[in-house]
Amino acid sequence: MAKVLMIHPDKCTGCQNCMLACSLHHEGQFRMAASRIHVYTWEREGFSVPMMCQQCDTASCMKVCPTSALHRTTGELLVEYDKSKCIGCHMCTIACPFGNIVYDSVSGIPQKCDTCGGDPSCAKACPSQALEWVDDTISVRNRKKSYAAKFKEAFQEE
Amino acid sequence: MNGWSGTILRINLSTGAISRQPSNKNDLALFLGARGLGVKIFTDEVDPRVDPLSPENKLIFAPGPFSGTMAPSAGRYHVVAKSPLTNGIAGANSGGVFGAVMKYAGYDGLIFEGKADKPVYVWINDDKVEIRDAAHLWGKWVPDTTDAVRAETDADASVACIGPAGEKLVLFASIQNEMHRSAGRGGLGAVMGSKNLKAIAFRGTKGVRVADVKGLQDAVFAARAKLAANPIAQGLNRHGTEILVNIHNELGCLPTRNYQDGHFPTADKVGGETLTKDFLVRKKGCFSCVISCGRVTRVKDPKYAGEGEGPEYEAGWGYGPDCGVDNLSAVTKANHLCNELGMDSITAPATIACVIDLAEAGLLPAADFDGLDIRWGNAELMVELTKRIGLRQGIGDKAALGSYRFAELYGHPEYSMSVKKQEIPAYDARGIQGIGLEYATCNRGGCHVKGYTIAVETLGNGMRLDPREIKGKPAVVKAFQDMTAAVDASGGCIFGTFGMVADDFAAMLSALTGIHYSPEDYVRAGERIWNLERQFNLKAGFTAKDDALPERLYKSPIQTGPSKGLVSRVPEMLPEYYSLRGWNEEGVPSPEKLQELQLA
Amino acid sequence: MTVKYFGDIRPLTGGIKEEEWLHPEPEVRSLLKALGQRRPALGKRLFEGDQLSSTLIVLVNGRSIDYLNGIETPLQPDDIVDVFPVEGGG
Repeated sequence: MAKVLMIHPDKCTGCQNCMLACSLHHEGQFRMAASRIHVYTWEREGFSVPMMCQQCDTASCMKVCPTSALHRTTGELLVEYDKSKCIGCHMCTIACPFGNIVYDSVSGIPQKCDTCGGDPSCAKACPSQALEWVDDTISVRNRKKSYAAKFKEAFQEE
Repeated sequence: MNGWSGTILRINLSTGAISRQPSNKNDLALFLGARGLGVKIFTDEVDPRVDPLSPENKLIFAPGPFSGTMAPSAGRYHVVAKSPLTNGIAGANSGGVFGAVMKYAGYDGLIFEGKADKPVYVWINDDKVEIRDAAHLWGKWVPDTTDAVRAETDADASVACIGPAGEKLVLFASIQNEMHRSAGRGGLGAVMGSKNLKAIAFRGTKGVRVADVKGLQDAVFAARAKLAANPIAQGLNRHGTEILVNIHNELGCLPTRNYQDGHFPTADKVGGETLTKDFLVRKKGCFSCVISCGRVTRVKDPKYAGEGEGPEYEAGWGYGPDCGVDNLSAVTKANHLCNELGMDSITAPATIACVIDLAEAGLLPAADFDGLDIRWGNAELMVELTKRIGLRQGIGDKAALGSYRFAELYGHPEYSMSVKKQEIPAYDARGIQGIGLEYATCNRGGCHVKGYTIAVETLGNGMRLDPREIKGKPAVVKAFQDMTAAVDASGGCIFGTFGMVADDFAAMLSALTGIHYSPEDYVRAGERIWNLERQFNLKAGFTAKDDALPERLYKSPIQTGPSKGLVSRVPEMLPEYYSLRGWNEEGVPSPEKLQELQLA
Repeated sequence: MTVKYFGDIRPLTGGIKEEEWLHPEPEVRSLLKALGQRRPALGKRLFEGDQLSSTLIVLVNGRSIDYLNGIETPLQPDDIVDVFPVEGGG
């Protein structure tokens, strides 16, 4: 059974441990722009949301990628990124409706969640179970998608 | 550099000069960062006799080596200056994300000197530093200030600012970051206001480098496991700090009505259980925190409606039992107001308690009541008087000086429950001896958090010591004070010490920085910082006579409840405390001790 | 004797904060055992095998049993016994 990364914003405390773990895993240092997951906090409401690539079934980023650097292996859930094919056109960052793939000027590549090879560091780091690496069932996927759709309305990325 | 950023930023607000210097590696190694680095720089550069509200005072912000890393519950920063409340050294610690963002912008310290001739704010975006006009921000409360600064800098900037209280030089004004987090005690907000500095906004995109990634990951996860297994850390996650109301009341050690008594029959109405049931919206955590003791709270009672964070135990106590009030809606609203106006939520209610005490004793002329119904148990008074203090209106203008100076104005300073003019908090030192010694000897004045022996005297964290005993307490107080100073200097939150010990902190610090720290080295850094602060205070004019609790705690026993009849025995503990610290009978560090700590 | 419950102990009593225990027990151990028998969920929390849970603070008339006679602390009919979880700081 494949797994997906579930977000529970109501449990998020805004601690950013997920970002720290992601950055440390991918780059061996703590640099927030290197994190593929980002947490947004609204202080007046005391509300925080972690956001990362949702590995969309019909991924906009894949559709616009001219070289198939962003691609999916048949049967897999992960939208993969092949750096050797990437030409740095940034089309993926424009296409993603959620802003979950972001171009990082330091590393020179678009960053998206790669689930850390099937063992997400963020889920292990989250102290409040706001991030869960769970089996992919129909009910899990629907909940995740409905959250994702809400948040595309809820926040503006520039 | 691993762990630290390597740069100190200096801003002279009188001249507008902005300069950078490399962080002194020796200072970092010996004093770690945050509180330690701040105190080292401050004591090197500032005359202890300086007037705290004059341009000659300096205001130093510093994160620690852990800030911005995955060290659990360790993303804090410290602010150091000379306190206008105590006239001694002030150091206040705050969570949120500001400390981490300072590191990501590339700074180990930020020093403000002088005074701007008009209100300004500072915008620091990695290497770009701008001093900007803040005339349009002056007068705004903390939440509006935060939003307005972000609107003209960066939507995700981390903002530390003062509210009206700091602008008007309330002597216990705070510096707030992320709106609700507080560098609360000692009046650092007033120092900031005296410099016409309204806000500091940070954005940082740099990284914090790690010497030994695997070593740090292992040490971090081992430390996190300890915190996940610790009942106090988990209890804080479930109920926040307000959970302490009931235990201290049942022990008869909940200071009531300005320390007239130690027991408050309706305490449960303002306890953490009630807060969780009726006010809690969700939990909140500071940067890298795994405990998340923060409480997002909403008051539904229309009279006190509002949303914010807290109250913490100290504010809940201050606005509650200390003033004879058991209305948690009013208490929560008053705490929200402290954050919004930018004031210390311990000194504010403790000062109000003093005002009430004087009024009830007939020592405050009715003409000075400012139309208020000043009496014990008046819930509305908590909210109204807090506003008047923050805005320095009516009687609030005098109360803005703190309980000692207020009581002194009316000829009765003995009504102020303070040490070195800073108000003592929510644990009755007549029934808990060790914390009384901490109150009396803390370098920043009446304070519990810098030597939190409560953990072992009443909360049962591992070791359990009889709160009524004085035997052995001086050593315990010293150990807590030294360890806390080291944790403060690392950028850590002391709540981490409920599960982590010096070994854990030292292991993480070593892996992060690449410099080997044994647990003894780590704690010694704390002892070094404590002695440096002490020296400054002595030069500022403090003596052993100032290491004393209010007379009420020595002469007036607790009147009711399980701890009835008890008084504080701090004077009996002081000689042993001084001796253990390597100080003479006047509490002056010996030359040998200073040499041992590399302070001579 | 009066028994009071606090913090996370309260959910285990169905939310009861305070009750009068009308069968006077000679000591803390027997009282807690009796309470645990009445409410099994509470009983599981109170004891680790035959020992009192290490994450409890029990007060008799405002004094921790750690400084009286531990679980063998004798009780009088009008005593007040508080049961606290180890929980919280600040």
